[in-house]
Amino acid sequence: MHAVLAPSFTSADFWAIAPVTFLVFCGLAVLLLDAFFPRREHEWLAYLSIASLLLTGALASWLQGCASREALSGMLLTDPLSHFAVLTLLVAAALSCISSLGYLREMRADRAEYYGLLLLCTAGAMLMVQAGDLVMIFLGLETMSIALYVLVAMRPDNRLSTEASLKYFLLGAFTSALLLFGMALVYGGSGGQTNLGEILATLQSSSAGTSPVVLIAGAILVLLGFLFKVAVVPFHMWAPDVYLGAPTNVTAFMATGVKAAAFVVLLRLVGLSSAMTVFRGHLADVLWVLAALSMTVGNLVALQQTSVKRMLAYSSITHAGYMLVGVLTFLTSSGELATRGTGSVLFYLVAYVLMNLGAFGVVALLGREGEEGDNLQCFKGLSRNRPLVALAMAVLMFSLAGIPPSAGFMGKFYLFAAGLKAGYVWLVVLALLNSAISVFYYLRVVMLMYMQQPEGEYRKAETCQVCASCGLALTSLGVVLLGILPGGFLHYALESARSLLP
Amino acid sequence: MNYLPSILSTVVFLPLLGTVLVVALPSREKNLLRAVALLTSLATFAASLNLWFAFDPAASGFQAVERFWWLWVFGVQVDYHLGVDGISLLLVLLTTFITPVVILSSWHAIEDKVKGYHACFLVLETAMLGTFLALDMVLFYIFWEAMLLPMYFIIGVWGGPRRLYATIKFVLFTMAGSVLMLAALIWLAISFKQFTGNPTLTFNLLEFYATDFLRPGTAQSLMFLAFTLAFAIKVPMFPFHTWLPDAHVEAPTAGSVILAGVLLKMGTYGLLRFAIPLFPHALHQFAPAICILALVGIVYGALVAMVQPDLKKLVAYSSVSHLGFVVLGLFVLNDFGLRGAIYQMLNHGLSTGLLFLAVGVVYERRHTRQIEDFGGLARVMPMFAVGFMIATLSSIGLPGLNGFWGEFPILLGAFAARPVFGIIAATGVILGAVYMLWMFRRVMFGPLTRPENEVLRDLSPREIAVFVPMIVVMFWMGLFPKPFFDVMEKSVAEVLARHEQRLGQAEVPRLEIQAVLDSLAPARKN
Repeated sequence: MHAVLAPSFTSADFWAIAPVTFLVFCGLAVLLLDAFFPRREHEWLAYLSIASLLLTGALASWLQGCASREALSGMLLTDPLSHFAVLTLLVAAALSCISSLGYLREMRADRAEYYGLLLLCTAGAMLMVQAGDLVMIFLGLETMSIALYVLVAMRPDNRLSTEASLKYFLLGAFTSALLLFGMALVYGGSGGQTNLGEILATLQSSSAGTSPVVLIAGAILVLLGFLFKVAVVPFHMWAPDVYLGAPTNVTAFMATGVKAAAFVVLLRLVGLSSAMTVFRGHLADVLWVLAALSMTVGNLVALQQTSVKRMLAYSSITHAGYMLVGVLTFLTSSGELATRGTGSVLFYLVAYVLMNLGAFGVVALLGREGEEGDNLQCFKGLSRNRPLVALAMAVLMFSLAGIPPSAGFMGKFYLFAAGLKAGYVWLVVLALLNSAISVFYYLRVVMLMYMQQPEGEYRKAETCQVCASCGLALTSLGVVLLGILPGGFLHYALESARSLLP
Repeated sequence: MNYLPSILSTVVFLPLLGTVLVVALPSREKNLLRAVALLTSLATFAASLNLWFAFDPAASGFQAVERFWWLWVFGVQVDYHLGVDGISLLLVLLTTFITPVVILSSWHAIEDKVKGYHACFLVLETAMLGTFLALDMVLFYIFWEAMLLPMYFIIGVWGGPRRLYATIKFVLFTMAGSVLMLAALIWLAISFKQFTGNPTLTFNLLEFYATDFLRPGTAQSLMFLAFTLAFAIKVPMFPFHTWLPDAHVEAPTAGSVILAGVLLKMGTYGLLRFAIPLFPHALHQFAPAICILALVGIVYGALVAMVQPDLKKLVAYSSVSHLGFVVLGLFVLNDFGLRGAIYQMLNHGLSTGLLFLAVGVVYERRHTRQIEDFGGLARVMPMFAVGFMIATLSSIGLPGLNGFWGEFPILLGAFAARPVFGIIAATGVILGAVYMLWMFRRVMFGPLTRPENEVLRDLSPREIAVFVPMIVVMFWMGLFPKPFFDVMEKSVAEVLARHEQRLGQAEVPRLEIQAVLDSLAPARKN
């Protein structure tokens, strides 16, 4: 059982890590290119980064066909779920890169490090979602988080940005400590296993040498760590401040890519926990309460925000609550229904990623030097000054509110259908009531844009915003498309979810 | 005449096509935009006439059914499934008829953001038609919710001074009801799946109709209440009506007309299509309570309307009263009541629509809606006075005009169910005459007290073109109601038969409206 495997590196392993490696190299290359060819403007690096993200995606998809399901002796999983998560992450990173194009220069925060770090952060998140081993999860998480701490502080002249970075760092370090401790306990309790598959096998055979109490304590701590990362009430306190302080494009990536990655890992861990029959029922109860709290508290606080960034932060807490309904379905049911729960979470994640990237993209578009562009007042009369931006924002807000035909509605529909099927009637009713409440603050933005006159002169941006607008168009069209013809994509999400079941 | 191929999809999506056209045109060309919107809605009306002529009243079930596989993943099957029966046919015609009238009525009233305005109305028309024709419950829900967005913009962008408050109230009320309906409809589908053992979750309304799958019990009651709440808010039934006066007062004239004419019917249509046929036991249990709420609405709406100083508010509260009649007719559960209720839906759409148009006419000229600002208008605006008078009398339910054929059968149905219901409802008719005629006297007759009113122009040719079609239809429906009642006969009979069969006891008194109609028809000729 304690046999140390001889490190054998096969060509299959090489191909499995090729996309991540490529991305890391690109990240380093971007940093070095800036050192060797310094220029005042760094937009060329942005294009380079977008291109490398897209290439990584292409590489990953190309290799997906020929790869086995695991590599590096089970450290890395290359199953469809990993692939799904990797693509989501890359899309999120590419879109937040696009939205940063004008924004960073407008904010006088245009630095080459941003692009390099973003690529490294994405690489870390990729490792995390592909991880098949607790150690790998931790490594990926740390790579991602450390890059993020710096990214959040990208505007050193801004007090909020520095504060946010410090907060995020302190809480992140705390979370890492919990996580590591939990992993150690799991290692001890499972008889010396860190590989997820082997832990599962141990749990199912419940052989000698395992200690359920230690194992459960470890599982609780590990899960706690990830609940922190996805910002579920009551582990959400950091999110609004960090989201507000970080540069908007970084916020966009944090709220979407990072959260999606954390959710995917959470799904893997919950899948593992569901094998512990003693623990499963209790975990379900706790998650039920957390889901109910997240959606309600997030919503009620979001109602009172005057900053769109904070509002989106709280609303993302609410959305995490909705997604927990799917996670719960996955946890407590078996067979096809469990897959549907996971699949609906995955679909919702993508919808959520698109909607939030778009919404933060709009905030970034409105940002001007010395003015963040997230105040509700900035949206007054936007339909006159920037009709297309206002239209895109309206579409995104309707989708976030879950009004059909939009990706947000379809996501909720499948999520709640699965939840109801699994018997969570009251939780689903609560979630639905919450989405009715959320209409108020999402539509407030639309109301300001369309139904009020602009205040004062509209300040034109100094930089070109064509690219950022294209990114916005992509997200809002994607949201509508996923709302009208979600069939193929839902199918893909379901197929990806299938790989999660043992 | 046979149905044209995929006629329902054509009717539903023709306005959307017009929207694309409107969006593509330059915003400067205001008259062109208006003309395109008008022509699109007229074309939709023409297409919907094919439905009317091809409809076979003798056939049972739904006609011109179109069904395509739309989404089939996650073990959930959602279809694109449309069909028309005697109930939806009339409401579809009402919608396609009112929309061009409304677009014509706002030709000069809207000068700001003309493109967005017409795009909103055309999208709204698609959503409304889709809601009436959808036979898949998820598709229905999608159209139902999609209706909210254009209306939100119509009130919020082109509305009056307190439009922001009114529009958010409208949206929140509607959403609160409809999210619960979403939960209930998924639950319903799950119950169906469990009953039949289907591998997939389906939302096919026809299958739900055909199978008696719900056992009496709490689950059924909760689902019934969730559906009923969603529709009751939309109707709006007392005590969920408070959004209506706000929305009506703030909406632009055309918005009010569509809101009163069609959107409110969504609620009563939903009750008739879903709440009544699907939950027989819960219906049996709650129907008396709902009837009582409807009666309260009838009397309360009338009393509140009586004291309104604002014309539009008065008409808005009269809607609460009139829709109380519709709900009463639906929930007394007999042939008279149901057919009267459907007829009353159409009547209310026409008469209240025309009343709102009339209020719009004076508002465009005087920029006030206070009754005390008027008086003696009949002297300066004789043609308008005639039109307004007809609308008023139709709303009161004068025989010879359409209103009578709604209220009268409903009252007969109510008496048949419980005489006391009929008695209370009849006071509503009297109160209706009181507040409408009193309002009419104060606005139109008496001396011209205000100098501003002396120079008011009478109806312009465009306004006449708006009024005349409405009035013609009112007379037509008032003098020859039989074709309309014939169209809905079979569908209504099916609803009742299914209800009786599922309850397993013949508690529902059946009365034949046809006999009364036939006996009255020769009398009219003499």
